[in-house]
This record gives sequence, C-alpha cells and structure tokens, in this order.
Amino acid sequence: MEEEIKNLEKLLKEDLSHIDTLEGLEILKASYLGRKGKIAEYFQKMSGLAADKKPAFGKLLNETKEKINVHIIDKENSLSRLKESSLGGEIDVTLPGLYFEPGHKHVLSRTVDEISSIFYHLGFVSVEGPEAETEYYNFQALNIPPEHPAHDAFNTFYLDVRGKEKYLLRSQTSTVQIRVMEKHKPPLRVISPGRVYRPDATDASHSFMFHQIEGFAVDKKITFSDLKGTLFAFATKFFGQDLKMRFRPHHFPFTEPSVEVDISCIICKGNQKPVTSDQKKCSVCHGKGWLEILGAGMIHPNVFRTVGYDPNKYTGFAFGMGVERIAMLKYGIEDIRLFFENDLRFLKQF
Amino acid sequence: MKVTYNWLKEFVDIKISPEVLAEKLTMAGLEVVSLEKFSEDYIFEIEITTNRPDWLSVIGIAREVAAITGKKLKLPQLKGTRHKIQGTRHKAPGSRLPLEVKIEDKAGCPRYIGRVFDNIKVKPSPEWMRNRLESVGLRPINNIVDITNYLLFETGQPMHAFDYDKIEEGAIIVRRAKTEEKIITLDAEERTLDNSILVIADKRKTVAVAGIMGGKNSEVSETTKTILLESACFDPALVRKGSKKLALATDSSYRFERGVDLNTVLTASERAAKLIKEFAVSLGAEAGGMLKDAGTKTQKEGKIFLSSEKTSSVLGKKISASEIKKILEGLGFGVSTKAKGNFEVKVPFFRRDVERDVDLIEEIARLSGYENIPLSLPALKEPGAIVREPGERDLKGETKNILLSLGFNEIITHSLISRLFLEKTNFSPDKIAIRVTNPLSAEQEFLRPELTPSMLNTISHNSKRKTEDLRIFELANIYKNEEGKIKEEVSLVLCLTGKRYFDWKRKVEEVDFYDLKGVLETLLLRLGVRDIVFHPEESPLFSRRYSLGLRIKDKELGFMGEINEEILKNFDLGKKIYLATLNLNAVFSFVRKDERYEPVARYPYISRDVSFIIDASVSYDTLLKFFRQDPSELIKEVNLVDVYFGKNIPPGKKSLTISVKFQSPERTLRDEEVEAIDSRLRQGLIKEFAAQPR
Repeated sequence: MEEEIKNLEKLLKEDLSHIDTLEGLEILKASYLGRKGKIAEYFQKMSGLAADKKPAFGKLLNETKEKINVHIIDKENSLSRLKESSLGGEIDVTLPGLYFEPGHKHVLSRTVDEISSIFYHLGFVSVEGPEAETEYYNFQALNIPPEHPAHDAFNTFYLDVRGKEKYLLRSQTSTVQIRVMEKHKPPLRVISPGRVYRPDATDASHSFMFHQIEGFAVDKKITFSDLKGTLFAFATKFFGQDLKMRFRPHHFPFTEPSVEVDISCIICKGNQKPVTSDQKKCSVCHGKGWLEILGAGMIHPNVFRTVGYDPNKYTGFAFGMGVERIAMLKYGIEDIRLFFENDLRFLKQF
Repeated sequence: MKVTYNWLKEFVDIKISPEVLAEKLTMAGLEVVSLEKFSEDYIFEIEITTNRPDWLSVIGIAREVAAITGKKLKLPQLKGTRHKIQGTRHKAPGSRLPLEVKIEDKAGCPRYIGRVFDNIKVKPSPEWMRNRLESVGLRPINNIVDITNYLLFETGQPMHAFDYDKIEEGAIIVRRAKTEEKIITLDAEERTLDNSILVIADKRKTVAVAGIMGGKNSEVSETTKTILLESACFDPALVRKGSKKLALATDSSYRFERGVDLNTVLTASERAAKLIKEFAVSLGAEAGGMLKDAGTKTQKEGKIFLSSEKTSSVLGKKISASEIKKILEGLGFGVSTKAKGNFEVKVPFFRRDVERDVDLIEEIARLSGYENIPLSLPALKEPGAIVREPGERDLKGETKNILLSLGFNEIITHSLISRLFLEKTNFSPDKIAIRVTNPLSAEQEFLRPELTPSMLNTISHNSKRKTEDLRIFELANIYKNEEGKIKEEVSLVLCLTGKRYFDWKRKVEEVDFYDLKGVLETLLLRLGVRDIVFHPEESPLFSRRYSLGLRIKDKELGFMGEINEEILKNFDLGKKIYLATLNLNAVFSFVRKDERYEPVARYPYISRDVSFIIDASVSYDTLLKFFRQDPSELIKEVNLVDVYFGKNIPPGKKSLTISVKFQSPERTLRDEEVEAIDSRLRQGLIKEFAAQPR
C-alpha cells in the first residue's frame, strides 16, 4: 500500500497533464483531495492497520497529500494565469479585427475637395453650372469670336438638339463666370468645379471628358498682383511650401493680361541641367524643370461688357485648372484613363 | 514656329547664350518648348499664341529679342529693289510681258502684288539657304520655291510663284470659286471647291486656292523661264474656312488665318526680288521687274490712350511713365506724352492684336517681367454678393459622405456613351437621349439619360478582374431632350453585389435586396427626407419580384431592385446585383429645412413584444399601418424584431415579432395603461388579420 501511495504523485502528474481548464482541475482535485477522494480512501484504510504501522503510514499519507496539494495549486495558478492572459484558450488578441471599410471617394472628387477647401479659406464660394451649354456661353460671351484660330484650342462637341440656339458640351468651366456675373453684382469670389468635354482622341494624357476648376474674383481694384498672390497661396498650400512658381505671359481670349502658371517639377525639383545637355531627362517635366498647372489672367473688358459690368469701374481675375493634371502630378499617376476605368484596385488607393 | 540663333542674329545683336535667350523668350510669352544644337547653330522651337501672328517670323521674334535685350532691330536692306509705285496701273520700266491683277472679292483679298521675273534659271538654291530651311524643318526644292519658303520664315509673308507661261495672258483674277469647280493642288490631290473658297485664277482656269496651296497646272518646274510671284493678303476667316473645308492646312494658311500685315505684302515682295536677282536669274541676264500692286496700300494706324495710373492699378505695381515709354517704344509703338503720365500710343501695323489700353498694359507687364509684380491677396472691402442661398447645404457633398460612410466607393464614368450601352439596359435612346453631332466614335454617340449603363459596365469591368464584391455609386448629371430643351439633372446610382461581410468572424453571406433598401432608407433619413413611400413597381431593369419605386406624394424619386437575368446576361454578369437610382434634384427638394430641437424624453419607456402567426400574404406595410392607426399617443415606436417561416409554422403562414415602445413626455407610465393598449393591439390583430398569438 505504501508503494501505491508513493505512486499517487506520479499518477496525479499524469492526470494533470491532460487538464487544461479550471473546471477540469476542480474535478480532478476532488478526486484526489475531496471527501470521497483517493487520499480520503487511504485514510479510511489506515484504520485497519496495526497500531505501530499507523504513525509512519499517516506521515507518508500527509506528506503525499501536501505534495498533491502543491501540484494542484501550481496547476491552478498556471491555469488562471492562462485564463486572464490574452493568448489563452479561445482568446488570441493577435487575430485580425473585424473588417469594416468606409468607401473611398474618387481621387478626382478628393482632389476637387482639397483644391476647393483652400479657396474657401480665401473667401471663395463654390457654384456649379450646366455642362450642356449654348455657343453663346462657351464662345461669344467669353470673347472668342467665331472663325478665329483661338477656337482651335477649344475643340467642341455639338449636340443634336433642334432648339432656338446651338447647343454644345462646354469645353471649359469659364461658362460659369458668365452665368454668375449675369445674375449677381460684384464683389464676387467664386470657384466652379465640373466636367468639360473636348473631342480629342484618347491616350495616356488626353481624354474627351475631364474636369476643371474655374475661379474668379471681381471687385473695384482687383489687381494682377492679387491674382499672383491668390495662386501662390493655393499652390504652396496644395503642393508644399518649398515650391517655386513661375508666371509666364500667355494668351487667352477672355483675359488680358493673360498668364500661364508653372510650378517647379515635383520630381526633379527643377534641378535640371540646361535643356541642351545630354543627361537623362526627368520623366515628369521632360527636363524643363517646370510643370504647367493652370492658365489665368485679368478678366477681359469685353467679357465685363457682355455681362453689363463697367470695365472702368471693376477689374477682376480668373483662372482655370485641369483637375486630372493636378491629381496626376500630386499622386504620380501616369495615365489619365485610369480615372475613368474605375478599377476598384485603383480607386481604393485613395 | 522654329527659328535659329544665327538667323535671329542677322536682325539683332545677341550677346547672350542660346540657353539664356530661351529663358528670356519664355518669360516674355514666347514659350521655347525645345532648344537643340544643329551643326553650328541652335534651333528654338517656340509656341506662338494665336494673337501674335507677327511672331510667326524671324524678324518678328528678332524685334522681341531686341526689345527684351535693349538692342536695335536691323531690318533687311531693300535699297536697289524698291520701285516707286503709283497706283495699280503702274508698270515697271522695260516691261515687255503682259501682267494684270484683278481683285473681284475685295474683302477677301485686301492687297495683291503680282511681279514678273524673266530670265529665270531654276536650280538648287545656295547651300546656306538649304541648310537654314532644313534647320526649321523644310525640305529644299529649288531656288524659286526655296526663296518663297525662306521669306515666309523670315518675314512671315507667305508668297507663291507661278510659272508665268502657264498663266493665260498674264492675268491674275482673285475671285470666289464656282460651285463644283475642281483643282489639282501641288500635293497632287484633286479638290472640289465651292463659293465659300477664294481662288486665284487666270482667264480660263483656277491656278491656286488663295492663301492655302498653289495648283499643279501652274507649278514652277525645271523648264520654267519666267515666274509670276504673288505676295498678297487674304481675309483670315475666309482662309480658315477654306482650309477647314478642304482639310488642308499649310504654313501659308496658318499665317493667313492669323492675319498678315498689309505692309509686309510689299516689303516681302521686295526682299524676294532681291533674292531672285541674286540666286535665280540665268547667268548674264537681268531679271525684269514688272509689278502690279492691286488693292489697299495703306492701313489706318490705331491710336490708344493710356495712363500710367491705370497701368499701375491693373498690375498692382507702380510703373513709371518713363519705363512705360521705353518699353512701348522698344516694341515699335509710337508714344507721345499728352500730360504727365498720360500717353497717346500709335499702334504699328504688325500689331493688330492691340486694340485697347489693357493690351498695352500686358505689353508693359510682359517686358517689365511678370516675375517682378508683387504678391498680394484681394482685400475684402465689403460683403460679397450672395451667390448661394443663406443656409444652403452642399447636399451633393453630404450625399457622397453618407454613402462613403456606408462603405460605398465612388466611381466617375464618361457622360458620353454608345447606343449599344443604352440598348443593353432596355433603353431606347431615340426619344429623349441627346445625340452628339460630331462624336469621335460610336462609343461616345449619346449624352447619357441614365447612369445605369455605365454602372453595370463598371461592375462588369471589375468582375472580369475578379473584384466581385462591390458597393459603388456615381453621382453625376444626366441629360434629356425635352422638346428642344435640354434638361440636365443630378442623378445618383448605387449598386451592391457580392459578400455582405469580409471578415473571419461573421458568416459568409451574399448581400440581398434588403441591404440596398436599408442603404436608401439610411441615406434619405440622414439627408432629412421624410415620408418616402416604397411601392412595388415593374421596371425593364429589374426582376419582377424585387422591384420598387420611391416617391413622396406624387413625385417619383427613383427606383430600386434586383437586376433581371436578361440585363445581367447583356453585361456578361453572373452574380445578383441590386441597384438603385435617385433623381437627386427631386430628393433634395424634399429635404427638411425647418429642423427644430425636440426635447429629450425625461420619463422611462416600456416596451412590449407582440408575437403572432399570420397569413404570409399580409404585408408588413399593412401591419405597420394597423399599429399606427391606434389612437394612443403613447405608442412611440413600432419595430420589426423577427420574421420566420418554416419549421413549426404552417405553410402559407409566417410568424412575426413586433416590438412596440410606449412612452409619455409628461410622466412615468403605469403598467396597467400599457397593458390596456397592448391587449387592444393584440385583439385587433386577431380580429382584423385572424392572427394567432404565440
């Protein structure tokens, strides 16, 4: 019987190795130390022993009971530690969280929002206008005479609508300038984002539909220097403070003086050798060091006359930029067609 | 426009390097798009804006270089070639050959100088001339053609040489073409003309399309002995129309479209005479110089009043009177000071783009440097015009944001679509869709009256790339022809397909009709649109069972449903697709503008669940109406908890659990009063719908 008792500890260890919950341990503990447990059984058997053998047997049994108790407490401790631990049992905090993904705004909408919010801070409000327009708003009112080579820059889709006027799809958002000025008196500060259309064959940098943001301000004493300052504020906020800007004289029929605005190349930072050198040219600015981002100017007196403003009383500036171009520069997108393909793998990157 | 460094140097002293010159030209508005070394020279490719035809010549650009660098322009020496001209009937001394110029369309051709040169020897032009032509991208042909091309670049004046012997009686007639008149042009194409096109003819035939291209029948060849040299000015709009109609654009038409200076018609002709005498006359012989100058010889000079005060106030930078004078004179303007800071400016003939003071202000800004104008922001001096209504919300922006928060991705598709696309969605385009008269291809023939075709195409595009779980929307304008008027309205399409959840814990399930309905309900609720009625409505887009219309009062707001099998097949799609379209103009008109605060309930609510079995044909809508008809004002909310068919429920029946929430704004409710309403409702269900309580 002593042998059996000595073996109890080994037996317990074996049993413990199969236990992995506190509930299981409780049952096991009862089977060893409980009122009807193994130890209790041996104590009962002790009464049948000779009196001289009783003290030694009792001692052995007590010692064994103590050892079992210690093992069980150890196991209990380790099991409770496991229960509270983040890697125990059913808990594994390294499992991924539940998937909840808000949608992605189209990168063009996002770009329009970013640009607009800068102009909102400068006191501009956003107004939209129709995309299907008349020739008047797209050309004549903007001082683009019919049969003038300036028309070529505004290749236009015409619409088959038999009405009083000739309808077309606007080739620039400047149409909104006229519509707003016809309805409201200065001072005005307005931006107008929207779709524009030009029948150009589609390739990596041309699309027959694209987006523009038009902006204009009219008041007494608006100056060319205000135009420069406003565009500088926009470009540095949008592209970064270390940006360089260049204002190049240009020609648009609806502004005079007119300007094209370049920013220093966001890839090579304009650190290019003169264009005649043989070094490999920057793929974004083609070695020019500059990227054209928008066209602008002081609103032409003829445009003011068209809407009934006195050009001797008011001056104003206007600018227009292509949203796709700005987004392509900002995110390094090299093909304009990606915007309209709507591959979710593209859209979800923004 | 291409021009070379050395060519420019013939007309102005240039002390700066080609690179520096390129930079200065660009910053003066002549954007140098490329600069290349070409043997001992440099080629500048310059983008010339449409308002500056005078820059389409080496002399014009040299004039600008002179103004930028403060140097003098050196014009070519014409001494010895200049004839005294006295009216159109003048004949140069020693003439033997007949020459007559008759302008029938005076508006179409303000000036025409015809000149005859005898003893011509057609041969290759000198090497330096050939090199120069090659450097600007022209192919040398023979001395005569090369001289006209060379001078087209040097002076900007297009000229044309005819073989004199092929011109009947030496008579030039400038007239409109006759209907169906034909000519074979120098490029060997036969072209059919009409009355809108100006031509050069002799007494029998047409010999050139005026300002665009000469005719094969009078071409200068190796056997040519005598030439008739044309230097003329043609109406820009007429040349442009002709060039478009014939789809024929040349270096010549390009310049005439933009406007050629009347004076250059003569000076270029003089230059030509000099070069012809030097390089094209047979050895030992003298070229004759018969000349006929028809049309207007003088132009009226424009005069513009300019003040330095206006200049400074437009530019936002003080510019002194002396600087203004210096800049304008450098560009060839005549400036006379009327009073301090007030000028009368005479506009040279070659600057027909300058019509008013702001045009001069641009010149001043350009030459004093745009980069030297300071930066400022426009001052807010008084409140701006109210361009938007007070309190106007950006409802399009809000709509997008709500959908984004519900997990929908935004797409942007083309507004122009094909007939096929419309037909694939059971839409017949002919009634209301607007056709584009000049589409680039059939893919872009129609301005879309619906967003659905583009949406289904996008789903198809993505599913072919194995992206099949989609929640996407597009918010864009649609266009309809309503009796000769274009109706452009804001539309929304949204679409759900594929799995509902994408994680490891929730059951893999496909989305269904109710997901989409929930999205619409949430969207409209969040926008503040109430009282929407979803009513069963058949549609050519949707399956018969899952198809609803949305309306408020009598106004249709849109549709939703499950895309039917036929359309799925048309777009090569397999999975179920739930799609909704909303007319946002209509939806936004119902957005509540009178939102007011409602006190938060201070007393607790009591809720009771009512479970019952009922005929499957009784709609939830009917039950909801029943609950709402109850007169008690204590019923705060009625919500569906569960719908169950199947096990333990007899066929043709369904089990429902509806939760009713009771609350009073004035007091804590007693159980008894809730009990009374609750049992009234239960009794009513039994009586009206033969419901069995559970």
